[in-house]
Amino acid sequence: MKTKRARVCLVVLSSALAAPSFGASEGAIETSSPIPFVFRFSDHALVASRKDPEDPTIPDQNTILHENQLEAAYGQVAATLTYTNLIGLETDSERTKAFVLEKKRVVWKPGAFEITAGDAYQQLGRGIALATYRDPVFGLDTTIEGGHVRYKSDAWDVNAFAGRLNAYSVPVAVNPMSNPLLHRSANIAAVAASFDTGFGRLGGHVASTWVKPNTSDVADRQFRIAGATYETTFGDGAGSLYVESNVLLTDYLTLPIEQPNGYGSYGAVAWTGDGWRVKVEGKDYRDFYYDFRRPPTLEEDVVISLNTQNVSAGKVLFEKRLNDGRSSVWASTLVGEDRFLHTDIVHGVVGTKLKIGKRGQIEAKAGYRDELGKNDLTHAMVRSKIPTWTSQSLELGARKQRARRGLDLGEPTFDDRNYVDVAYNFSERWNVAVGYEYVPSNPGNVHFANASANYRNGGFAGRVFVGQTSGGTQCSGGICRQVPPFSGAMVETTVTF
Amino acid sequence: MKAPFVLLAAFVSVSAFAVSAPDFRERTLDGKQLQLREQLKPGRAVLLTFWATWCGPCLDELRTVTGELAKDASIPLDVVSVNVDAPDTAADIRPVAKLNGLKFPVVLDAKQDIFGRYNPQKTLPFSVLIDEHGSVVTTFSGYQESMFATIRKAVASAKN
Repeated sequence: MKTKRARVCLVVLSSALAAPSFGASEGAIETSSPIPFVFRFSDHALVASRKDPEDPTIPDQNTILHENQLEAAYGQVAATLTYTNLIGLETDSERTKAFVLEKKRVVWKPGAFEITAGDAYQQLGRGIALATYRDPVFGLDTTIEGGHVRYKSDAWDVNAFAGRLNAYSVPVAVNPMSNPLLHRSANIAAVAASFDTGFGRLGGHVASTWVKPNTSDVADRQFRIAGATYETTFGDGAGSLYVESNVLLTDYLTLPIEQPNGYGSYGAVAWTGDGWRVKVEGKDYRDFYYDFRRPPTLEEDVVISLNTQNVSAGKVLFEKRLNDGRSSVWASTLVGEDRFLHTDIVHGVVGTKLKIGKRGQIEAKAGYRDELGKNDLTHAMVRSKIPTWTSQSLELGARKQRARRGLDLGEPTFDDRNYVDVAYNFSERWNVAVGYEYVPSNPGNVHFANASANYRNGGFAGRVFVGQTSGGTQCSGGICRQVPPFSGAMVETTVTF
Repeated sequence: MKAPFVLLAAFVSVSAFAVSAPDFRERTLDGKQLQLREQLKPGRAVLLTFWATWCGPCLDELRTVTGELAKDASIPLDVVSVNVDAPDTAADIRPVAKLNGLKFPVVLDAKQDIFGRYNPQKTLPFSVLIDEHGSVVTTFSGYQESMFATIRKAVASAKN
């Protein structure tokens, strides 16, 4: 344990010592000759000591998670390695690997081509057909490990790739998602192309994915997707239009199961006037049971929008700028049908962001969502920034969410969450914050208090957190999931140079 | 087990390293291909700024930079913005750029490939000041009101 503590101290101290040397001193532009060979390094460390909030007799869980990325480039060629390091949680069956080379790639960029061997992120259209991406909040990082060739010009964009889906084995996050490919593997091949027709960009893509359990050499399912996209602007750039449509064919290769075809379509049209904008969006996802995607949900982050397979909705948003464009008010309405819940959905939200003086600001939002007759959600938030002295400010935030579930079952359940936080920014480099959450509907502890301090300077960022969070729904980038409560302390540092 | 940690500590402690900005080539909002290397001009610096439509401080930073450059066109600074919106908010990119009066190129980085190379932790706002040789002068993590004062000093020193 002493050795482990010494290692932690060494890493954190080294990170801190490295910080002042990164980023040339203010006021000087380097005039050195171009460096043909480039080397970049990034280090992210997370040290957490977690207690069980319900049972203090259970020993603390101490973990050190580490992630490093090394990149070397010479001329048109660049190579990147990403590896992770885990100490602790040896009994966790999902995260037993202590040192893992997670990602590796070599990229060659001759002219308009980009040729990659190794790991790369890919997305088809707006993510309805395929999206592999990194989400640091949930420790999610999925790439396609194989070969990728891309040709990019003003008129054409052609992309072809094939390989296996590679998800992070050791996610560096406090509440990581389970490895989506823990007991199975997936291989994919795809081609996408788009070109400028002169009156918009027209595109198409096809992809085929084979999935098999790790215990077998034979794929048991094949997914085939074909789609088309079109985007254009009009009204001298004031308006924009995007439409996409996909069809999904699923074949069970070893079982006599017939899966209906899936369809996934999305469209958005927006118009921007003098100080205002309006956006109309629509989604129609029917039997689109394919895991490796991140389609537009049209939902607010407060909503647990887990259904992206069988749901349709339309949304209108209107925003008006005020006060020479520094402030705004906005309103949106969503109407839809959730075919999992067999219910219609209506969600209205209003919000505003007001600038006060030169540096002050108030932001507020409130909404009501009704899954007609089954569940509903009322939510509101307000956040303000009050300047105090030069480069200093006080931030106050409050948030309320009240969900009622099972309204059609006679005895509905309630999920009531109330959160306030206060942060003081001593300078642009560091701040301290305290938060308090009151969750009366929680069966155990209903009070959750925490404190944190954040510091950043050039390529170094550090954070210390102590206390408790209630868990519950956490949303990031269109993904929502239930996270467990946290109680304990953590230190997080990031160094990039 | 010990070796990776020792190696890591050694790397982190090293103070001599290259600070060149990774080059990239990607499509912009107006459909053209933009290569970072081609934006570097003698006697001028480039501010590479990452933003998303939902990031309020990012938009504050972009408006500040736009306003300062409009006030003094003699500042030898070019701006390249990189948008990192995911599919959920991609439909907002063009309207928000127009509403905020963004006149500089908006590179579309939907897969966050470029963003990940400059800032693996993908925190926003994040900006990088790059000199005429492609070297990183400094980075700005989070919205900093003094950012433009720092940029002014940096470009003025280069001129002298």
